[in-house]
Amino acid sequence: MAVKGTDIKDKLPGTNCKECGMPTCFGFAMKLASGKAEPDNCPYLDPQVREELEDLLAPPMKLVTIGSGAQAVSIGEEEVMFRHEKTFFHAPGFALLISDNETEEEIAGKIKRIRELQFDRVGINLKADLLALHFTSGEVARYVALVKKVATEASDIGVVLISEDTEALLKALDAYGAEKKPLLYPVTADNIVKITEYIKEKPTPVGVKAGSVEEVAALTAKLRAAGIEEIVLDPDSKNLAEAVRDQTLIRRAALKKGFRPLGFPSITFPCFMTEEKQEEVLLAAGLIAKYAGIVVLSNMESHSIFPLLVERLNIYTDPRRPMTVEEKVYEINEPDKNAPVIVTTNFALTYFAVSSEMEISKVPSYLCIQDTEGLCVLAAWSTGKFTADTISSYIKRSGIADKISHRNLIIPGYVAQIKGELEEELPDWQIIVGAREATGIPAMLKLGVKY
Amino acid sequence: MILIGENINIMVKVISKALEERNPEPIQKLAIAQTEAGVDFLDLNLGPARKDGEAQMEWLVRTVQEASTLPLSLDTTNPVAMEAGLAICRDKALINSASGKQESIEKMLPLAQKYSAGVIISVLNDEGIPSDAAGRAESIMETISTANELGISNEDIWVDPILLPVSVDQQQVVEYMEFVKMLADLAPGVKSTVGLSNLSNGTPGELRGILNRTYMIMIGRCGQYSAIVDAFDKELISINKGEMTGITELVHKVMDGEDIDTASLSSKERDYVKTAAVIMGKVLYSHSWLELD
Amino acid sequence: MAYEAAIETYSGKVEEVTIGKGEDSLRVGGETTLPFHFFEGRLPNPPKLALEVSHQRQLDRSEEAFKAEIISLQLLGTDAEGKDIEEIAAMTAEIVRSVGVPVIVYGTGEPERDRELLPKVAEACAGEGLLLGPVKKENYREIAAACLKYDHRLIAQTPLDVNATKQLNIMLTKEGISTDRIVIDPLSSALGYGMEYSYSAMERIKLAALAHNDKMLQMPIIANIGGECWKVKEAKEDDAQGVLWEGITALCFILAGANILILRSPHTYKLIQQILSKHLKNYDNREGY
Ligand code: SF4
Repeated sequence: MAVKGTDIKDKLPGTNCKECGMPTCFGFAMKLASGKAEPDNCPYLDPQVREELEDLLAPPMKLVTIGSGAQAVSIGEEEVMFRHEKTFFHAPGFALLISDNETEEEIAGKIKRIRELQFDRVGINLKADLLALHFTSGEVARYVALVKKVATEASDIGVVLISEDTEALLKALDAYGAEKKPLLYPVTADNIVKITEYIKEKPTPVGVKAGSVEEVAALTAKLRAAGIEEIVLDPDSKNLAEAVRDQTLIRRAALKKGFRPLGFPSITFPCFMTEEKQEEVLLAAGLIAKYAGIVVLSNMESHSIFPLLVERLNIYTDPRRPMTVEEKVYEINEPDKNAPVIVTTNFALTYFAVSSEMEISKVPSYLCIQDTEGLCVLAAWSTGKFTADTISSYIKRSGIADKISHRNLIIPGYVAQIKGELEEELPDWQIIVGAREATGIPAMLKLGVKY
Repeated sequence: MILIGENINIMVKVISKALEERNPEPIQKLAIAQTEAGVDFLDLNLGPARKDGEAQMEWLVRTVQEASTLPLSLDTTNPVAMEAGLAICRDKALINSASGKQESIEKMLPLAQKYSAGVIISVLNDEGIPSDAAGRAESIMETISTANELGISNEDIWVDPILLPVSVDQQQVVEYMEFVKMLADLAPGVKSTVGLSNLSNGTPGELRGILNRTYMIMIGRCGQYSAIVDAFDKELISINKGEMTGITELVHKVMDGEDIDTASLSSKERDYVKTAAVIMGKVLYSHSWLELD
Repeated sequence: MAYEAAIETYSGKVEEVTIGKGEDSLRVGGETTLPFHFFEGRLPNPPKLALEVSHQRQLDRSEEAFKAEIISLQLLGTDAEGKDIEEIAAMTAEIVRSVGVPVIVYGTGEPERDRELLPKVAEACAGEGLLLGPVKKENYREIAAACLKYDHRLIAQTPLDVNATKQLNIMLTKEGISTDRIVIDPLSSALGYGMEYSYSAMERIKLAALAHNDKMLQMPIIANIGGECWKVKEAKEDDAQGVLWEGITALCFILAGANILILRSPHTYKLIQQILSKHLKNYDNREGY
């Protein structure tokens, strides 16, 4: 329920004096609504209207940042219930749980792992973001030591401090440093007064936990009254069905009803919902799709975190824009001078399908990816972006000719009809019509393309 | 609504052939027929006009002006051809079209000022077509400011909000209407136009007319000033003349979300009601929308 | 401002489709709300899981496979073995009659081939209540006729285009297929290979069915993901990763509205089954899973 220009235009003076740099007040209203101007840019607003505007313009779900510096994780400020309605904006942070009860080696191993588990996909670096430090040993000193260790050895990674013991939690905050914006968890009905007092002096984000969405809202109302706005929500859902219910109700309250006490992102704990590893991964998967702001995991192994990272990437991909890969010549299976050459478009899914099949074939080969503004082969062809003249000029500038000793170019089967024209445009080359579907590529490559 | 006849278009075989052979007859026939059909402007669509654009446009304008007294809308992306045409237009012509793309701002907009022509400016910019009403507003405001700075007044600007096919994106069709509603407030005095037939691109041929006509009624109500249309759609012309008030009112009712007792309607009226419901996004589009209850 | 739960109820209801025959039959769909939304509507049938069996692998996998609640036979590749249509149909019928659970039959996906093959399969399996497909706009007439005659259900497949999905359903109903005999296949891509497109297509279909009460989109949805997931390199190079690849894809589609999932790995099958049994409790005493 992001505010619209039409909703605010009547609050503006209506004189169209242009001093804000816009030709009309309405134009200014549109700029305000899209966040590209501030109420201050209009000198003629009376203070009360300005306040109203600021309230209207505040996003229905607040953006909360955990950690500081380049690695900080920002969550919230979502605008829709379903990604096709616009897009989801801020992907959830993945936090790795470390208990102070774990051994030195285990702890060191986890810190190492969160650093090392990084993956590259379409030029995007995928990695987990946060450490969640859990007080379970009963010895405050031990917990504080863990927090300090992380603060020094992993100072770039944001943390969630988790302790049911409020004393320990606040000690940990001091040890870690509020200026580095750890997420303090949990704030409950029992400790809310104490924590509120404390973080007025040392502001840092807090995670509010209560047994239901309604009770969570009651607590956040108190925090907001005390001027605390950096909040994430935990309605303590016990299973996936409850989690879907609670996350849905929170988001609806925020977006559709403009209910401020729930206008915050959430934190979720698949790590506490089950003991079983695979089940935990799937619960995390469900929570990624259904609105979680932070997902805390008990463990991260390459084979479990990678698919979750890919899921997060998929769900948070902007459906309004086609995913693209960079225009360049990709080398697959270490090709040499005699390796076959395939050309196709830079729609990410085309690239994935084709490159994956080429890898499977084990045949060393080159994949020339041409920038077609993210259109797939057929769409690019029909809009003139993947035609004989554009392909020929790309092949010439791609530099592929210097890498190979032959002059054979495989084009997608879907554009078989351009073979003739392309041969005219690239007189030195022989054009070969390849498979229509990517799945046909291994067979084609293995048989040895007949030149 | 001011109607611009779309039928002289290089994509049509007869036209491209006539143009190539410099044979005036088929073109003049079409110009006369459209004039008689009752449109207000004639669009001369040359497309990209890469080869020989200048000479083609000159010849085309002369040929059409011999046959019709209507003002012209010159439709090409080639600025040289555009200028060649503008230079010999008898009446105030319309440039179809400019956009917020840098290239267009540099090459097309100055022509409007130089020849004091009207200019259609689309919401397209270097980032593509904006996806909602707010994005359209933002894009067009910037281009309008630039145009104003070049000395083009709002009265000479015809905004094209860009209409996408309903079979591709119903939401966009609704956003279009939202945008047209705000246009008068955004930039007082500007006009608007649209390639109306775009709406029904991808829809089976026999069903395109009713989509276009229904939408004309709807955007007209939102404040749309003009549209580029098929001049030979008699029903469309008749609706525009205000001769089919029953249909027009029905479509308005659908826009207002009123319940309509379809049982008492003729089958034609029912078709308009169903079509309006699809355009409003109340019913998901499918080619068979008229056959569903 | 007091909190009030933002409950939404919908005017539409998903059709309940029965597949299989007699005591062994089971029902899919029938919900009046979004997946997992027990708190605001009815979800009488939990998502159903089918295990994929191809003809080639049918023998060695049969034991595990036959414990599945639905078997999905994939006929793709039977041509390559040099079998003719009659043979394939007979073989299919033999399996269908021996498994004791409802069977989904996916043809080759080649419209021309399936136009001949699927009616033969329908005939050979007369009365078994197969879920048969994919039926596409190129071949729906012939397959629909056979399904009507031999009492089967159809999988209507259109690639990621909600409008085309609706159109095909309209065409099928015009052929006399009632809406409770159609299942929608919007084409399911694997995690990392376009999953988000299928995900959003399913959400849009489900919302059109429920919120807009669009009769021509109120059929249950099927997600045929086993083959898609196990052909990607991330699954092939690491089995444990493959199970999660398939499992995450499956769960995402369940959350997007899929009513039937076709899986390839028995491990994934058990994992999803476990999630459904543990996490889809009818916890608030409404009528539910
Ligand atoms: S400065 Fe204020 S009054 Fe003047 S045009 Fe802008 S919004 Fe309107």
